[in-house]
Amino acid sequence: MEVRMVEKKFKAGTEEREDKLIVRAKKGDIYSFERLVERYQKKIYYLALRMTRSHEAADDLAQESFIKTFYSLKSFKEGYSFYSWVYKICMNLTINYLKRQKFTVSESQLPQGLLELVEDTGKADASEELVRDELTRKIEKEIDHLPPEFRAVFILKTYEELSYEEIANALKISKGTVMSRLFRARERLQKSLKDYL
Amino acid sequence: VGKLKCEDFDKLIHLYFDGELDAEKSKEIEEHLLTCQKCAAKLQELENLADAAKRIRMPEPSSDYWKTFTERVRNEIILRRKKSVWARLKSGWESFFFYSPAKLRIAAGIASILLVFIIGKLYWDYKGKELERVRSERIERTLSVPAHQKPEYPSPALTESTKTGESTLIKPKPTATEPETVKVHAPLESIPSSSDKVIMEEKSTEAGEVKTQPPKPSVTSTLEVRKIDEKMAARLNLATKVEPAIPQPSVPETTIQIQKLQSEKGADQMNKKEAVSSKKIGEEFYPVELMKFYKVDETWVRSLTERDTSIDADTLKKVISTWKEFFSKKPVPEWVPGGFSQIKIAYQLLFLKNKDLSSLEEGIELLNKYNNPLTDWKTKHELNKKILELEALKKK
Repeated sequence: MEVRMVEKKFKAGTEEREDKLIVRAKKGDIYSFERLVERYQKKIYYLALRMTRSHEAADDLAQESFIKTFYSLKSFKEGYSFYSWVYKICMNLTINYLKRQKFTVSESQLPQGLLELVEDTGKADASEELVRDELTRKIEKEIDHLPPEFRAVFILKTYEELSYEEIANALKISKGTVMSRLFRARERLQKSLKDYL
Repeated sequence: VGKLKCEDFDKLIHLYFDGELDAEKSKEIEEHLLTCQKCAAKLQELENLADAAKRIRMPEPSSDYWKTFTERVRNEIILRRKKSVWARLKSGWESFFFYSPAKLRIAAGIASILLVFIIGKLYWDYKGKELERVRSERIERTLSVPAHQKPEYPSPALTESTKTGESTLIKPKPTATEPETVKVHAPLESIPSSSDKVIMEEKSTEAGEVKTQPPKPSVTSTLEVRKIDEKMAARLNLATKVEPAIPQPSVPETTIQIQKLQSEKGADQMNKKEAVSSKKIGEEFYPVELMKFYKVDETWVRSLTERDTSIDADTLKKVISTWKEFFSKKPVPEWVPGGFSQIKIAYQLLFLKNKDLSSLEEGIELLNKYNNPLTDWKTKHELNKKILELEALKKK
């Protein structure tokens, strides 16, 4: 009983702290903002990585997302989700980046790039992690071939598990467009993976 | 099979899978799935797809990477914050010139507006000057008089002034649009006949070129006093090259002052109101002499004041003869008291010039002659006063 109460207090304290951090960051306190970055850096990085399939690009985009978030904090309304604010910025940056780069990861580049990255991490079982079944590799390839807008909707739904409404807000599109893009993205994937599903 | 059909299920399958359907609809789907293997397979396909996508493993960067991530973000923020205002302005300036269709459109729009404004301004200025020039030309054309149409009786003053400079009369065309023109109607009881025509025209000489206008047929029984103010004079380009109408040996007259007359009493009051004022030119002040004229029937004659001692004898005699001729046509000219005054002043000035008493006696005799048939007591009284003044001068 005592332990539970402590946990509750701790959780409440954490939430309050985040609000305070945001307030302080809004006033220009960069160290408070740093605490917020620490909290969401991985999620944002992986979001960018799933979209770009490139560590360098994901690193740049994640950093830029946080920098932009810091400079746009004045328009951030208290009570809203800080993470939603950041991933909204991140997704827009990423889509623009992909459009600009006409980013398409070739089949040969992807495992190599990822292999290098994993080797950098120094993990012993890196090669094992890269061993995927055929379906996973195939689906990975097909996702990479989706247009950025379709890919963004699919990723936000599948990995972030956002509702249509949240996706629409993040990408500044209508709910109908979200549904349309999501269904078409799934149809494409289903069509190309018909033999595996 | 439940209420839901397979076609309906196809439409709702994604919404159901994503949890976007309400409870009631979801229940219908679930009921349908229990009985329809085909639709259940479709749903399973979606689940397999999502599972396969989620199985994609993202390589995790090293722990050092995460340690430095926040630091790099912080450093970048600090770096950008340190950017000076000048650097921001510079980058803004550079980005302004960076090709962008939107920027080009904005720049083209601004340039077009400016161009239209400039062309409009130039056209407006040109049109304004053109209108002003046309108006000036029209006025000058109206007022200017050819050489052969000079006044029948050029006053001695004019003759005198032409010695030192050019001097002619100005007779502005009386139009409804000229606010400078004031028409004063004489009292009806004092108008003897409709054929009597006297127009007294007052004019300021701006020394310089003053142009003569052939006398126009005057309005019957109308005492018309015209005045020209500085504005009008400027419009007529009279404010420049001003020469004295009456030569002042020691003091050059280079300015004009126009006296406004609105009196119904005629020339007497005009003379009383005659002003000698001055206008600053450079650092010096110059006295201003006014020169006025009466238009008697079709003849222009100099208007005299008692201060006009410099006027020559010929001019004075011309004034007398003109008025005498005018009165000779009218047995009881009591409606032109100004004429009596002019005759009196002319004789008075003639006496002062010649020191000849006969001038005064002649004047007294003439005024008495005019006084006798007068019936208007007021005019008679005024004329008597003038006669007495001349007699007093004679005695003195």
